[in-house]
Amino acid sequence: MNNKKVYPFTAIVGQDDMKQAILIAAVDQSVGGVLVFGDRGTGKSTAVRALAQLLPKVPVVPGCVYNAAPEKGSCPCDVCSAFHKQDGKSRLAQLPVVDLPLGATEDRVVGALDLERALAHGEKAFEPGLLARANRGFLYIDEVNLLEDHLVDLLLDVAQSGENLVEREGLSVRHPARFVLVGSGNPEEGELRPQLLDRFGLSLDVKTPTDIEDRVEIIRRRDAFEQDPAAFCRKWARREGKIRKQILTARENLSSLEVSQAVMAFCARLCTALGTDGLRGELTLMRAGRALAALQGAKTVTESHIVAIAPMALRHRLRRNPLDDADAGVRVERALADLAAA
Amino acid sequence: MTPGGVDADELPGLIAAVLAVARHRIGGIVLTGPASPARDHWLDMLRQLMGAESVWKTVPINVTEDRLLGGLDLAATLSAGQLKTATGLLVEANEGVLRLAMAERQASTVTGAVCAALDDHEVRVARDGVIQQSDSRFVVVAEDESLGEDEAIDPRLRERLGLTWTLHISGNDGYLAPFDERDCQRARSHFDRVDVPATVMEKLTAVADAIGLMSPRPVLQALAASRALAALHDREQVNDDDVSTAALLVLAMRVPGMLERLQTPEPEQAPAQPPPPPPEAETADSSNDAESLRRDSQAAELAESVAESAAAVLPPELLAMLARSAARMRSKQQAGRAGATRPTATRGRPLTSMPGAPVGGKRLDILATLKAAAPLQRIRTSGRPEATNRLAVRSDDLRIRRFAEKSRTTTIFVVDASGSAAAQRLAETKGAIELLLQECYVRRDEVALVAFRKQSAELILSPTRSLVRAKRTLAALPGGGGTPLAAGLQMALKEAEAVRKKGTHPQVVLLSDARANIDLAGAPGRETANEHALAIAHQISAADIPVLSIDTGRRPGARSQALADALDAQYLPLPFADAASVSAAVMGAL
Repeated sequence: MNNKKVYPFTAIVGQDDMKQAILIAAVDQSVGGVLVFGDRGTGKSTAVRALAQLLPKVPVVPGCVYNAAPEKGSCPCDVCSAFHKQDGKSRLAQLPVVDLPLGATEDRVVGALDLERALAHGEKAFEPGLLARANRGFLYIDEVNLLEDHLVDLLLDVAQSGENLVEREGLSVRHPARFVLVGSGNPEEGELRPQLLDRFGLSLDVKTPTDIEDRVEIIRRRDAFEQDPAAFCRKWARREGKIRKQILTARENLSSLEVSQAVMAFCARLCTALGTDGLRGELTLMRAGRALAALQGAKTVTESHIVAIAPMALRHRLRRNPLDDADAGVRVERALADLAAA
Repeated sequence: MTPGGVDADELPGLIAAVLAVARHRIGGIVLTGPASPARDHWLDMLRQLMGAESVWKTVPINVTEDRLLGGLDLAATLSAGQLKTATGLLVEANEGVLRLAMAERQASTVTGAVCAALDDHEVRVARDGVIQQSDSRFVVVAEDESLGEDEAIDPRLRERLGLTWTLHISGNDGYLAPFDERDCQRARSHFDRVDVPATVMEKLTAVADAIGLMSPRPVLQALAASRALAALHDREQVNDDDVSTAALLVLAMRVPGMLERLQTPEPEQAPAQPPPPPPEAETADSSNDAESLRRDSQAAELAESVAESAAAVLPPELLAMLARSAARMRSKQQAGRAGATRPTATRGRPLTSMPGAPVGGKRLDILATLKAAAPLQRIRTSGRPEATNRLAVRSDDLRIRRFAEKSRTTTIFVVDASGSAAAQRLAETKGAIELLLQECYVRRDEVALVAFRKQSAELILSPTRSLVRAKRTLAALPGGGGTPLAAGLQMALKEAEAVRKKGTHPQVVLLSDARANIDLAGAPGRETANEHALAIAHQISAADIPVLSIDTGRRPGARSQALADALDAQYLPLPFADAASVSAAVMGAL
């Protein structure tokens, strides 16, 4: 495929919130997607592309286009059925980060008739699309606010059900498509529909660093990378390795971390105070807080973990009040302060 | 000599040489000006400097997505009986030049694809049975032929192209080229080995900061330019001249109006004499100029040290020019102009077709339907020899045409920001606009705002759907002064016509008590002010623009009624207009 060097995650200057959100999604994919909005040139897509290097290797069924897990019943495809019949051996593969390029057509996103086989052999066969490739991994959409509406609807539907249902060209296929949706965009290009906003677990607003020293450092590193990508990546390899291990350990420890009744109650109080709709806010708070605790190697999930991730978990779920000028993140922090005082 | 220490006559040649050396590291150039011999001359020069072997590809304004990105080659696939892919323009331009014709009018899907390729040096395709990625690195020449402020090149693309040049239309018979093809070739092989002292990045960041360019991309492009300049001069290391010139070419030229100043031939003067210092700079020393560059958001000391390094890079007179231009750029930004995006959807721009039956006014896309049916012919006709010479099309194959969107509506608010009652009224109007913007999420409509006060009217917010931008500009809207109603209506008419040109329906909402007291010329006087206002009102109704006239006067009167009649408007007295009722009225009435 493509062995082009990608700018290392650890070499990104500042943008701690964005890095934290991406790491949380890498630890617990059930957090449900990350939305990164911000100015041009803030390294939004750099960070997402860099994530691909950090994802751990997981066991998959060899040859399965859906990267299915070796457990029985996780994938209905022919390769997997044969694998289970023969009691085959799984292999380790890196979780994918799949790009949804601009101008993608629906047939290649959901999958469609395999043209090659239709033409050469007159066979009707299904050729999986990007949603299949993204199964168990990440699906990245740059300029998510410019995506055509009918594609957005389709992605939402699949992201929600975890399953891609194809009924077209005489084909009828159903395959697993569990992925974390990562979107980035520039708010000046237009807003995102509220229905789409709510699907993302975490949401961030990244800003260009104003600190001169940080900005010079960005230029310095970026220039070094462009001059000699291979040497630059070697220089950062140890730090990358360390963070990869951190993610892996956190994923392993995740299941043993319990969220106490008191912390759950805190999440509920926070959501009530902010008037967020539905359960999704509370669930995200709890999961993201737990993932953060796992990343930090903590023994228990505490209120401080929840407080740390509350703005990114809730800011996009607040009911819009056009007459309140405060940034949504500020409103979350205000509610946190009120709760602490109470 | 220009203030940058470069001979002004050599600028176009120098820019072409820098582009030919720095290539994908500097992204490309925005070449402003209509098609002309001057443009052809410049492109010829670039072609020569790039080397005869370099590929040139042009993206026409009517390019289709499959030609741009590549994908399935249907004809070859059918005749070969196996999947054949076609290469798109973006991949064909690899290691060469991609010309974007009429760049300001290219669809945002086109500029978006070009931006993605510039960022990743590869082209990703997922369409029509093909998923592939191919490496591609190219230089973009974006030919910007925009006239006036209504059109502008996509800001995403603008940011990724390091260089800028505005062409003279007249009096040109070729350019002076300070470097030739061999110089460029040598410099290119030398480019990666040029050493950059640590302070260069600080200096360039400081200049970018002073101009208000916050993204790291322009700085990296300036850095590439300084490397190219050093390489062209056979220097091992970037020196101060290279940094100054690079800052001028990449950073300073981005400031609107900068180029015109450099290009304006100085009136019969000794050529060695520097341009006359601007009036402000005559009394102020350079540190005072630097003061004016300070942005509110930054700590004072930091700004000062930044300004000092900027001053060290750029000569004081250039810096003074920049300071004024940058201030203008910022105030424009506040008016919502800079960064304004073209609507992605004008009436009737065709999109890729989608599956569906041609019912309910939808139109069948015959070509796409055949394309969908073609690969399946063998499957469908197998075992039925009598059917082989007939095309088997099933309902699954039907494709319907889609257009970018039904034409949208742009609501232009014309707000009376005059007098003592303005503060309250303005606050309510701001609220109403924001409430309407919320509706716009669903309807995908746009909102613009014209305010009139004192002697004139101003377009505070150009048509937008972005709540972020609207809030930012509305917060800064001041009130008070006289009532130049005619000027406000005139501005609204102009804006409505511009909106209409883009294929969107304009509608105007006027909030005023109709007590005009400033005429079109800006002079006080109730009589003429009223006459002028009525005259413009008739023009608006003649242009067939729907208007809702909301009378915000405490006692709704005959004057407002007369104005509404002249406008052929719906008249709505709302003496105690609050945000919710204004928004409800607008939603209901228009």
